[in-house]
Amino acid sequence: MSWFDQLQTFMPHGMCLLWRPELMFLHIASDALIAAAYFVIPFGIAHFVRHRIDLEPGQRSAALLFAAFIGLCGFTHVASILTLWYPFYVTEGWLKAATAAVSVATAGLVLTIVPQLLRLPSPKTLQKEIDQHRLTLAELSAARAELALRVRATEVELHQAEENFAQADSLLEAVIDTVPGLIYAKDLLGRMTMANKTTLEVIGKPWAMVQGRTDLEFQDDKRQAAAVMENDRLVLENDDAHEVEELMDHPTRGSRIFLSTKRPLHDMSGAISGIVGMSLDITDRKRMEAQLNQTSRVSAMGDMASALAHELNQPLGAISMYLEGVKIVLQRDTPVHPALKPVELAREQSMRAGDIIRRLRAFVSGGDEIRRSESVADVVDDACRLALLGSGDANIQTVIEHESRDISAVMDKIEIQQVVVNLVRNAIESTPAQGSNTITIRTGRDDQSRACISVEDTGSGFTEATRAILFEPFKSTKGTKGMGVGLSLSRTIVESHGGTIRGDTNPHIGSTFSFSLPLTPQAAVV
Amino acid sequence: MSDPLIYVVDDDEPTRQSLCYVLEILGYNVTGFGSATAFLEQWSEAAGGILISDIRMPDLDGISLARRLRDRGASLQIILVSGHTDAMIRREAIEAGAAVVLEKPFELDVLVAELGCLA
Repeated sequence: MSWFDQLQTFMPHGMCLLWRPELMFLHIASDALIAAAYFVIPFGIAHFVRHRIDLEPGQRSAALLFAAFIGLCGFTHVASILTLWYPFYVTEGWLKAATAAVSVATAGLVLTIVPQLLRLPSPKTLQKEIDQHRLTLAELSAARAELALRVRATEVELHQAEENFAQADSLLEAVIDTVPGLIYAKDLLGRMTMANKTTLEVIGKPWAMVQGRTDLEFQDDKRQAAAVMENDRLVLENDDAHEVEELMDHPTRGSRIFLSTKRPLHDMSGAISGIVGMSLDITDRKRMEAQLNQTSRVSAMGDMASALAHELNQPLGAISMYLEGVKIVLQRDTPVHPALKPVELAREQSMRAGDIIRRLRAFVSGGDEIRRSESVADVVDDACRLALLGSGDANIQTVIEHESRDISAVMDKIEIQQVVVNLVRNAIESTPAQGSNTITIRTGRDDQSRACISVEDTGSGFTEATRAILFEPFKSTKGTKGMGVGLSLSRTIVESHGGTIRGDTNPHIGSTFSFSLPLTPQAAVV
Repeated sequence: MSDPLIYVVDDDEPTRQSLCYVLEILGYNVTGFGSATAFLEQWSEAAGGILISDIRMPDLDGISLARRLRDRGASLQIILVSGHTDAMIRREAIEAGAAVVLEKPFELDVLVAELGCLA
């Protein structure tokens, strides 16, 4: 049956409406408006789909399906209008069928989509959520701002603290570096952990060469370094402060004496972690003390010498006078009396004693000293002859050794002879009566600027306790035999000549006393 | 040898006696005194002679003694002796009127020579 036959077969739908114009108009207007509306919707959807690029593929096809469904619905309404006049119901039926198919598909899709749509938050909810988020964000940024403020405040505080610390630190550092003493710290193994500027100056090396090293490593004089480390060890061992005098070589000022106070350092747990020490250079003080000591000793000697001179001069004068008298009487009776010579000798000796006293007093009072350049060998030879008189003991052998007869020193001959006589006499007295004994007297050069005279014996020597008082006046170790002024006087004489005197016990037996005198300056040699 | 009068003043007895002994042997007329005061009590101005006095003595010392004698216009020659003399003591002694100052101990020959000059 052709499309046209169909038209012949059915009646137009208007017939059903009896072609009544008002009813026709109602249907036509309604269907036309519905169709128009239905055609607009797919355009809207198409526009939406085209511009919402974030749609998922499923959502896009669903939207298009929906658009198709609406569009088809529109066509069915157009068909309804046309069927008023043209009865192509078969075509309309197929159109509806197609629309039905698309509608069912859309409905099915809607059924599956609805739960998804339901889950989607509503704009209101979303708005609420967004508001909530905005609030949270605002709070967050406020908190962040506050935090930033707080951080800045903390930073300022920190900076201030740092500055204060740095200031305090630099003040402390400045103080430590400006004190005239040495301040230092060492660990348990004696390695330097801190040293102030003065310390480094004395060591004469930069911090890099001292840090983490022991005294043995950075000090040049190993013996002094060992002594220092031994003192450090004692502090650690006894866990107690320790005050001690130490020697260290200053790079430009030579050997210096330091008074060191060392204390143990403790860590937080109370365990010893090292030592901290402070050392003061007391070299000048010691020198002044020594000078003062010598000055007072010299002045004490001066007083004593003055008193002795007066007391001794009287009996010496009397002896001399009586001997003169005896001599005159003897001579008157027998001009060649055999006793005349010894009487004259005795008188000479009493005059010599008076002479010695006069010189002694003159030199302690700084008076008329007679000092000239003398051959050390000659002076010592003369003195030994004097000292050995009457000591003809067979068991004492005397050896005199001169390095050279050309060594000369500026001296008061009588005074230096006194010293030599004194030392040789002491050597003789300390020699035991038995066995074979030797007294060796040596002269020579100590170094470039000093002459040295030593007297070595094989006698009883002396104890360490005696050593301390060897040169003190009125400290005799010879019992009733001596007054204890010999060595004291010797020291005064030697020191007044700018020399030094010392006594040592020999390794095996006996003792050696030696003294030095400045050599005659070359220009002054006569 | 004439017999010049010699006075020896010294507080130290051995010194005084030994000097007196020797001078007597040499033929002098010697008198010893233990102190300057004792000498002044005995001394008569007309006598003259030579005084040998120690300088350092308790109470009245030798220089003061010499001054007093000078003040009294004594014709006595004075020799002052001391165990300790220096330039200042010597000058004082000479100013006080001493003819000679000797330091102890002195050789007898020196003293005798001085006595010979003063006598």
